[in-house]
Amino acid sequence: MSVIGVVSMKGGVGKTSTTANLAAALATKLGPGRVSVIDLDPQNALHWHFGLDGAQTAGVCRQSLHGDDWSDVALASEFGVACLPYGTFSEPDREAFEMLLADDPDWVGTQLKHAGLGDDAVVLIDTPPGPSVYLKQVFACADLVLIVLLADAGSYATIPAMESWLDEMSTLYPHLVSVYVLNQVDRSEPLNRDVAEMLHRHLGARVAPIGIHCDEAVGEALAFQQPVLIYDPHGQASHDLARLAAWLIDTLNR
Amino acid sequence: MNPRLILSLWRERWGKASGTTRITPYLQGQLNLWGSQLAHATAWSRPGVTAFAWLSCIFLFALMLVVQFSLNGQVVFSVFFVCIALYVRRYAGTLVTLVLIGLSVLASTRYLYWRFTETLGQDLNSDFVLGFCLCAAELYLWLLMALRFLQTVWPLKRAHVPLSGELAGWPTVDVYIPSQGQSHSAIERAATAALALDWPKKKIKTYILDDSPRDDIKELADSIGATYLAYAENPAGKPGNINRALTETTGELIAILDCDRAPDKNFLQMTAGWFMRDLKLGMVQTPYHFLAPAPSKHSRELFDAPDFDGSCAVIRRSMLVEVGGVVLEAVTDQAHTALKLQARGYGNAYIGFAEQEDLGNENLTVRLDQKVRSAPGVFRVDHPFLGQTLRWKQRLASLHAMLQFYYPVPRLIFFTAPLAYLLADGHIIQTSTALLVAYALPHLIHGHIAQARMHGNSRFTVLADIRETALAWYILVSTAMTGARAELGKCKSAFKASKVEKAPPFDWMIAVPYVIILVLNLTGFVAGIARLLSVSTNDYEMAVFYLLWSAYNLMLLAAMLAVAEESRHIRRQTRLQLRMPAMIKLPFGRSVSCVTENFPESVLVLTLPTPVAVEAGLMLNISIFRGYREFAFPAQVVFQQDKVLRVKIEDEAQNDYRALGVAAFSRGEDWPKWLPGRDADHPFPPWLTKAFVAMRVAALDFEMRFGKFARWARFGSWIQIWTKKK
Repeated sequence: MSVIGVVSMKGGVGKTSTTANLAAALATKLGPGRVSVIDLDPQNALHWHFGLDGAQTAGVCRQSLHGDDWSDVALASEFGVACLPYGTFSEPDREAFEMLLADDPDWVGTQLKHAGLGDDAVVLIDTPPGPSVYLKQVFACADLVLIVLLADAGSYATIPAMESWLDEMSTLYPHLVSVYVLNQVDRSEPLNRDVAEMLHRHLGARVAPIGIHCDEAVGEALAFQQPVLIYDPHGQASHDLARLAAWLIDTLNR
Repeated sequence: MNPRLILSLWRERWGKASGTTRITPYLQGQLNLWGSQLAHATAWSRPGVTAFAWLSCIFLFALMLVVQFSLNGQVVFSVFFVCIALYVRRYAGTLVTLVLIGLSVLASTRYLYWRFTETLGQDLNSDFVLGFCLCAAELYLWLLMALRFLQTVWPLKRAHVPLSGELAGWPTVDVYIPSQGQSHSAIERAATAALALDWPKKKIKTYILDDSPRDDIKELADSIGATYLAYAENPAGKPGNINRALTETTGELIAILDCDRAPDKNFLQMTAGWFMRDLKLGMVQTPYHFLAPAPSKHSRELFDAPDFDGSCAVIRRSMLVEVGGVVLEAVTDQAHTALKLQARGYGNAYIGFAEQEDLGNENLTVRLDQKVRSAPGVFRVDHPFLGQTLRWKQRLASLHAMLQFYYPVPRLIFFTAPLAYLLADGHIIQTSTALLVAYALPHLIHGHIAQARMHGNSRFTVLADIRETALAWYILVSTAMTGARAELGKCKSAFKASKVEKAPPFDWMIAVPYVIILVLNLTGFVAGIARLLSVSTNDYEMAVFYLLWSAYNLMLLAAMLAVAEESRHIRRQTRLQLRMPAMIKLPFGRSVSCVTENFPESVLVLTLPTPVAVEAGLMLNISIFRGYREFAFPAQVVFQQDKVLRVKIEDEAQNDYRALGVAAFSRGEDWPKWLPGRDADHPFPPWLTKAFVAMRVAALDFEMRFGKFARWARFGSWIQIWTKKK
């Protein structure tokens, strides 16, 4: 089983879209039934990308509090990806869940182990932006962490915070691989291009060679509750996501 | 030449993805160790040892040459040496090449000696005369082979000379782009490539030399910063233009780039160093690559012999002016210029690195045209033994090149020789077939092995055969005509683009001589079969031998006619075009992944995955991807229909776009490697080797399962030897 955590220090960088679309791309590459996504973000938005019912109450939050198995809340989508939503919750529920996670840093890892997933399964975990108990959980159980960035000043400014967080984590989990992924790349815009160049120079091989291009199709796909790969297979963003998925499979196999 | 190579050529021709490259490295083993021990033995320094070794070698060689065996003796003798050659050829090293060459020369000389002394017959009759002609033709081939071996034994590995660090000391360079009616885009490409050359901008000037003033070319020259020199009413063609440009320009070095060539970025830096180091150097010639390189290329590579192919050279101005400019009267202008330079004692150099691309000729007619035009020139104008300052090796190379032009004579003799027997019952080889095979076969096998070893990576035996067949007749006519005329004729000026457009696809008139020979051979073949079937014959074997010979001729001739029939490859672009992944960014935010169809053109054609409706005149951004890197350019839609989109790159981005084009094409050293399987010789087709390995594997299987009793065979070690080769 390979676990990929999708994280960022700053909100609004397209983390949830990236998680969903990447999962769909991985599913087209690996075949259905092998890819699952877990939403650890209280925004509870991931399931929208797969056209799953929002009124559904069950989610990993409540399920954990009741002490039940996570595999019961997994929703099968028509895109070959199983989705575990965060679920609806009341404020005390969320606080209790976060307390639970703070007490046992390996909670998510243990749940994944008991979920009965096969050796060839790939799990993607979406997290809320910035440091949180969710982030810590992901670092504890992930094989690879994708850090989503925009090629703009705001994202660039969060890099030192991310780097110091990574430094801390790398002492705890030395085998963890962290990769920066640029989202909404647009080489025709000077600022976007310059920041991207600077990031590549600054972070070197830690930036994934494939960035996801700026493409309206990503937003439109969410409106249609589909992964972008299905909504617009010929768009550049779909193209990039497919390449990124192939590259990730390569990296994980290495 | 093997089925797999044909397949890869076919794939290349039709733009299919090629299979994995096949490299057959030579082995390094005990044999190499022994070789180097022998070569570096201390005994060589003692007086007399070398002389003694030479004497004994010559004595042994002579003995093996003249000793007469019975049929069985000859068979054993031949098989022994062929086995040695087959074993040795798998190992690396110059010494092994020398051994193979030695064996080949031995087998061939022995065969020839035997042919002259034993097979000609006693009486002076037509059989004797025809037989003697055949022998003479074989002697000629032997001479050619020996010369080729002599020249190519020790390659001269010449690198480039680094320039001094001080830019101030670098020479000024004029780049000439001579044009004879070439299209705007062809000139644009060449000029762009010239402008991209890595050289201090203050020290390089680009000139477009046109043979008639054209406004659009002038505009082009102005827009990219080149100087446009047009000479109307110029009878002397390209060399005349160059000579007139010489009087108007001032650079110390002159680089002449044809429109159909594009140099690598560092072309000047690689060549100019030689001029700085050697003040007597007049010209540096650099290579370019053909599918079936002419043998003369090898001689150039090895001995600085003057070039016979034309452009891609850098020349020193002062010396060029001294010899009176580029030679006007000859078509292979630069070859004669080079010879003239040499005659004055100025050096020529040939650097063996790749920096040019050349797409060859568009069909046989043009190919013939060029070859035939160069033939008399090389043969006549500068006799290899008249120029006083040529070194003996260069003379040898020139002699070889000159002799090559008589190649058609033996070629035609070989084509017609079997007819003497099949049609007229003449016995031109008076011996038993078995003996003939016992002598001739090792001669052919050794020759093939040695040739494959020396030229295997750049020359395909059968392709070369077909090519030489195709050229034989015309070169003969041309050479004979020039030989007969007292002065060098008014050769056709280098062919113009306009002329090529008018040239018909290969017309059968040109192939008439071959059709005649083919018909004769076919008649002979049928007659031979009739003879085989008739009961009265007693020389059954002889008939089979001549039939096989005739069949080989038929194959070559048929291949030649197939080449003649080859449909014309219309080349609108003089250079390669790249399909590269690209992206267009539409104004309403969508990005579409697509592919370029004609990458370095300024009007770019994109193939879209789905039709996208955009209006002409719309501004959008396109990106071109190279590996993981992306390059964005603003562009304007010119035309859109279905999945085809034409966009014009905006003027302000043109410079970046051109730079990307140059970068994409400047793959320098990759060019010689573009064809899979060109890296080592393959005297045996791979399927044969594979079959052999499969047999061994089967044997091993057998041993593992059934045979402790088969342990003595030790198949395992054999498999290791054969699988190491891959």
